[in-house]
Amino acid sequence: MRLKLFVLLLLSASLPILARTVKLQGVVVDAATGAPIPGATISLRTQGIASPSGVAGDFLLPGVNAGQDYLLIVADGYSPMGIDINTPNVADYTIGEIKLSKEGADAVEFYSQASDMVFDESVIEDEEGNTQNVSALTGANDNLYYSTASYNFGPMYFRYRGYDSQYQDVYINGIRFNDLIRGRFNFSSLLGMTSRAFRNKTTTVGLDASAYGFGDIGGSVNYNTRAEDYSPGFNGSVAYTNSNYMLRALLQYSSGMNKHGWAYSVAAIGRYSKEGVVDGTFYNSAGLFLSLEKRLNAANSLSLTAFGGPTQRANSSATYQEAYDLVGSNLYNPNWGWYDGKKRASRIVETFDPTVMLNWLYKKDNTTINTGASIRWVNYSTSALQYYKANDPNPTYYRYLPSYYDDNQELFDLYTDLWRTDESFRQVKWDELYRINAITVENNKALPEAERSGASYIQENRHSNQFNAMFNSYLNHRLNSQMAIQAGVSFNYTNGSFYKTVRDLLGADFWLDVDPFSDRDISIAPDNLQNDLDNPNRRVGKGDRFGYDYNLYALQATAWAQHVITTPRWDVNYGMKIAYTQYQREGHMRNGRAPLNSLGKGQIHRFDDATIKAGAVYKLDGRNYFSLHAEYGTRAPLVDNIYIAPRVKDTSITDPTSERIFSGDIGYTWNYRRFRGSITGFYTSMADVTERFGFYDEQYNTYTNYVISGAKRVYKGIELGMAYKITPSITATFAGTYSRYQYKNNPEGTRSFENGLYPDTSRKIYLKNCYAGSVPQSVFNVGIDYAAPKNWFFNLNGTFQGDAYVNLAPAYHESLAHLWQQADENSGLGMTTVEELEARQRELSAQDKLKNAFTLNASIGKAIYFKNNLALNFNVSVNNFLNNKDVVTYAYQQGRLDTKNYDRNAYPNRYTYSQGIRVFVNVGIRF
Amino acid sequence: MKNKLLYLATAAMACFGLWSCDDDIETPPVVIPSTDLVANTTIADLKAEYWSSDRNSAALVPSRSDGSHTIIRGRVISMDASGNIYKAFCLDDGSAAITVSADTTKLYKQYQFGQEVLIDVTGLYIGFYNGLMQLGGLGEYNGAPSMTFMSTTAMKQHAFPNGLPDYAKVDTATVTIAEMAAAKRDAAELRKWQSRLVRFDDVEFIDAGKQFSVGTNTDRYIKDASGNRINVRCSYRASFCDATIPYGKGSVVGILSTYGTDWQVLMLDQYSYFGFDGTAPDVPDEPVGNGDGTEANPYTVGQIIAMNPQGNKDNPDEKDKWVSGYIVGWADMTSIFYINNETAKFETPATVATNLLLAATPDEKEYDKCLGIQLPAGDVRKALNLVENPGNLGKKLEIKGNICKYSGVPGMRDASAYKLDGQGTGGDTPNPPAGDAIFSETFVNGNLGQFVASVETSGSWTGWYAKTNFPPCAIANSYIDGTNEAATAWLISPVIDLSNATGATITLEHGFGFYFPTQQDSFCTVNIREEGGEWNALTLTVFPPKKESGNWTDFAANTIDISAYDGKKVEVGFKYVNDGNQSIAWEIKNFAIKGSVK
Repeated sequence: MRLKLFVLLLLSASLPILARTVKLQGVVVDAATGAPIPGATISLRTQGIASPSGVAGDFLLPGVNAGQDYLLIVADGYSPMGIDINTPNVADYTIGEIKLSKEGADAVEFYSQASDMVFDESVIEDEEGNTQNVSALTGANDNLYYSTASYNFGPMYFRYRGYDSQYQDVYINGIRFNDLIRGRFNFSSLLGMTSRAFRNKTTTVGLDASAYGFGDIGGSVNYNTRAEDYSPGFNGSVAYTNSNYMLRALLQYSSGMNKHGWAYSVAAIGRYSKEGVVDGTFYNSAGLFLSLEKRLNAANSLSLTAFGGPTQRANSSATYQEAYDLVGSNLYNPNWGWYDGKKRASRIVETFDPTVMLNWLYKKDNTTINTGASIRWVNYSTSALQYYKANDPNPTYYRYLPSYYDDNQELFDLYTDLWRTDESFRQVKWDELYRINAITVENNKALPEAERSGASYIQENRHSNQFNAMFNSYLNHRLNSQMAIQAGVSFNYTNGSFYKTVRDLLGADFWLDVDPFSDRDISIAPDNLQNDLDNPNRRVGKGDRFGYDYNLYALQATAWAQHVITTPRWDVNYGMKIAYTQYQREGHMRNGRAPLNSLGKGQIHRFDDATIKAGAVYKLDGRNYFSLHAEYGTRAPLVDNIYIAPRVKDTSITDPTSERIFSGDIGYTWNYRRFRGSITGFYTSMADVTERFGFYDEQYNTYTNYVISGAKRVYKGIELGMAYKITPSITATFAGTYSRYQYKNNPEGTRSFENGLYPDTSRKIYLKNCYAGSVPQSVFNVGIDYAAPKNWFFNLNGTFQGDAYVNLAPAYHESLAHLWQQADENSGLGMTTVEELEARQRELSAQDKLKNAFTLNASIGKAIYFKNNLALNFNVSVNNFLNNKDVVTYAYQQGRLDTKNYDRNAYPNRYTYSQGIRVFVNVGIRF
Repeated sequence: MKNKLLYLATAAMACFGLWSCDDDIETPPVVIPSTDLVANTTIADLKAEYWSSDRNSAALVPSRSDGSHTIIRGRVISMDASGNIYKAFCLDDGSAAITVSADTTKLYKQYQFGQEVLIDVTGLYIGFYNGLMQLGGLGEYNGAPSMTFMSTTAMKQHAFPNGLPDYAKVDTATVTIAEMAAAKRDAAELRKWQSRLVRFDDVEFIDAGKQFSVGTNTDRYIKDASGNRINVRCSYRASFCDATIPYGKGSVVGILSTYGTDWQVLMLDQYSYFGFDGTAPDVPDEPVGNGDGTEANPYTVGQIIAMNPQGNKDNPDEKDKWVSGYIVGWADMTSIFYINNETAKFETPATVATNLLLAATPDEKEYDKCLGIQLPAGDVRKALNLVENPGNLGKKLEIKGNICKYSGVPGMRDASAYKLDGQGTGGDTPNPPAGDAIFSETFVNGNLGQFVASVETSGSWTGWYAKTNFPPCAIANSYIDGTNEAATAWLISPVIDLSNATGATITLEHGFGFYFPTQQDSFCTVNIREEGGEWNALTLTVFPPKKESGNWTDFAANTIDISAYDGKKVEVGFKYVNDGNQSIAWEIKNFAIKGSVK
């Protein structure tokens, strides 16, 4: 306070001397989203002074003469704006935010509505245990390629530059919300409110600099929930779709800032379907959102944001093509069965992620400081059937499929017939599971307590919860008209908790807490099957924890700073980030497969990382830009990846090291009145990458963990986005990428069986030039837009996606010590030449390519404006209206290899398909 | 850092479509099996060192004097894919070949035909099993060391494949049956040829037109132009077991193995016989006939040949059957012990009285269209043999006996009755049946049948068991590891129902070793009881005398009257008692209870 007074005194003392010129400053933002607009040109018409805006949308015009003038603001894609100003004779004059509206703002609204559902649906799939991870494109950016990809690269899981979602940063009010366990942001935690409560956002593409954070190689998005940034009034919409859910209702009321400095916004959403487009699935979700802001004074304001809501839904899962073909539908879902006259799901996902955050925004003159703290509780569970000394209840278990009997025509025909004609055969047989448990209960009655048997079948919940405490503060300070600095610090503490509970005993007395699949060698090591050696043969009931129970603690502290220079010819930025990360596991059970290494706190793993980043744009003239960006740094591996079998033990990969990432891109952008676009080439190399995935190995009846360490991956490609205005209201667009996402070395793979049947083994796996799985490497979209009179909008576009490959299984890429032993059963003769052997090995290690996909999409929108700000809009989107049901969205090769005959087709790939035609009808009202 | 800048520059270029050239998915390197072992002994030297004339033996191969291991190297010349060779493979290093026995199936995958294999012999056993030298594990034969399979673990620890198979380097020796017949009589030659892969050209199968081996392992002989024969042993597990044996002349390839004192050729697979140029004869030479073996409707010679009996004296294919044919000759088996071109004689005078050749027609001169009829000592031999009765040549004979293989050809043993030229029934019946057999157990099949053995002993003896030869029978002998164990051992029959029997008798044959009682004592007793009742000792009356040489007796037949138990259910128990002060071996065979059944 004392300092402030001093500065004030100093300033007033110097006023008379400096009175002749004024420093004029302000911020240019998007009127609809509040996002800063960098690169806008701000000029004073009479004085001939001009300056571009910086990454935070801020600008500073030095040497302004006090008095009347006309301030002109021009930015690409926005309607130009002119303001008459009267500059007072002071040293610094701030004119605050200048809101620019997009050209064709209604069209923008139309697109965001049309893409909303695609986005919402795709993030539903983004969940724990799904090896796939969806990197959601968040739309709304001037980059034509990026925005088209956001809106229209739907059906397969397109990923920006092929990156996993952990390489895309998601911030809410400046706080990075990617979780430290899996590295990604869970978009479904936004509860489907991306078109309303989370509509205000700033998207940074790729390696561009942003004002709110250092970002990542996959770009970043910052959602802004400050109450005053919502346009005041009421918004409501009702939508119908024929997908995971059927109905969605959404409301929001925003107050705007009142004269006492208060603003608030509340929103609620409900999503529901009794049965989704996939048989036996359902969807129930409700969410609430609240934002409250108090402007304390001209410089300071406080914001409180809270949101959360429970979601419960039933899931389908990937299965064999054989099963789809037998059922005759690519949407076959094995995870339900008839029970008590109703369809009952076996896999139910339940989530509830309440989040609270408090932000303090300080904005004065050329300095902005945004400080925030947040707490979030992530509650996630997914249910599954578990069994002990009983037949596998999964109807697609390989021994229930006709192909298992292909050497016995009679059984083959029988099973084929059952699959085709008997619905109960291909679904979960709940009655059977209850009946078997009931027999045990009946037998138990005659037995003394100690001799009673537990359930053969139960439904279990697999929990993965998190507690996050986060703090963040960042500064944006403009040094002069051409230079600004941004810097920030952040801190994240995460406590992840992982365990199983009994969801339903299915009529049994109890469940015996042993590993159901360890007991084949019980005579050798009887302790092996105990999940909790300190409570051997524990009997658990509904709600009890069992199986595994451990925590992962992660802590990350980050600091970053960057310098941004903006001149009429050049935009240059450079910066760096340093981070400290530590991980630790704590086990709550002494596991029989690792008695000395499972209970209590384990070793702390520490990582120190740094990244540098630089970018430059050369503006040849107002129409042609050239850009170059590069980033190099290290990044701690994910805690989820470094432990070989975290459910069992503390063992990590040997010497976990940070990934080393280089990423660069080079681009050319042109911007003529009728034709604009950009072309970018990118190259990213990641070294020392650690990945972990798991699969259930039916051969050994166990869950198998597989950790790849020391992998090198390279992502490279070309992106092209173009728009050509055929007439002022008809625009043709093209967006496409041709790229390759590959492994580029032969890393080490470590395999760990959770049932402890075999010791962990490490060996080299030959992945060089293998492709990232289930992501299209060639995507092309051609579209046409018609902004018709009277606020009608039409869009038609077609998307081709190709060059996608099945997610590989490492077992097929190991050097096979016994492959040479393959001798022909009839002739008894083996392979006599290295070439024969190589051909066989090559056949095994080939990576299956997915079918290319083409889909056509259309949408129509109409906005109607009434008096008193009342507006109605409606949208109809029909995705994939040719009803192509043959689009694979995800495919993986099973983890197990047939080591008897080395038959590549012994354990076929598993697939999920996109639904065919998808309709989205939305009616919205606002006033 | 310099590198990174370079990176940046190349990266920028790569972005513009400069894809790297090596974009093919990398194939993991293939693994060619190899071993660091270096051979220091030839198979010939190894075999010579451990060669012995014993049919069964086993010795552990020790480290060499300098502490190093004995290592051999050879190429696999066999395969078990077809199943004709079982749990074994043969290695040949050019000096000799040896059989390796391992308790593993599908060896053709791990030790592939044509693949080089090095074996660290030290720590393995080497020796003989019924005349065949092999590497393997320690087994037992008649209480003496013999060879058996090595364990899979031992195999993996001792035998290492090296490189991929090279068929061109497999050495197949083309030989003649006569050469091999000579080789087996010379120890050095036997050693040299045993377990080698050999090829016989211009040979024909004697059993052309039949299937190789259905249901049981079968000897299929090949013969050359001179009538020399060699056994081609065919497993009923072989993939080609039901293939038809080809007609005409061709070639046969197989491992030259030994069983007892004779060769047996083990073909590798269905490609091991080839080039056969013959076709099935259009019309059979003679009608096979449709007898049923009864006196009224005897079998014809053709029927017996078609039946191709494989049984032996103790296990004939059929018992007490009548066969009809003409006496066409005899076989001189004083030096060669089977009936072939050389030994078959179709004329008199005869010099051997123990057999006859019987054919469908009186003028038959082909031995393989004849049955070999063994003439047991006694009236049958006396009346029929061509030495004393040269006039019988060409006469029609109907004869009753046990159908089995005799000296390598279909035939009959233990004839008990005959009709010569349709005249009367002759011959003696040495053991006239005392009524119908109500229960019988020969003990010659390698098991104790329905009998149950139990033992109490001071040591490790396990009690009564069934020997498979020398001779096959049930035996009790508590002399174990150089010690006479004090023991009481029972061998008890199942409950035998005599409720409808009258005049029941027990018949049995028994013999002794190292102990020669002349009358019933308390050490070796036959006991009987009503089901669940007390044992009562019966009295044996005939005890065989000690032979002139050795410590064993022949068998002596006893008949014991148990008509006191007519109408009851009984158990019979052989009780062996040894007080530990002496050696007693007691052998039982051909046990039966006979009687008239109401």
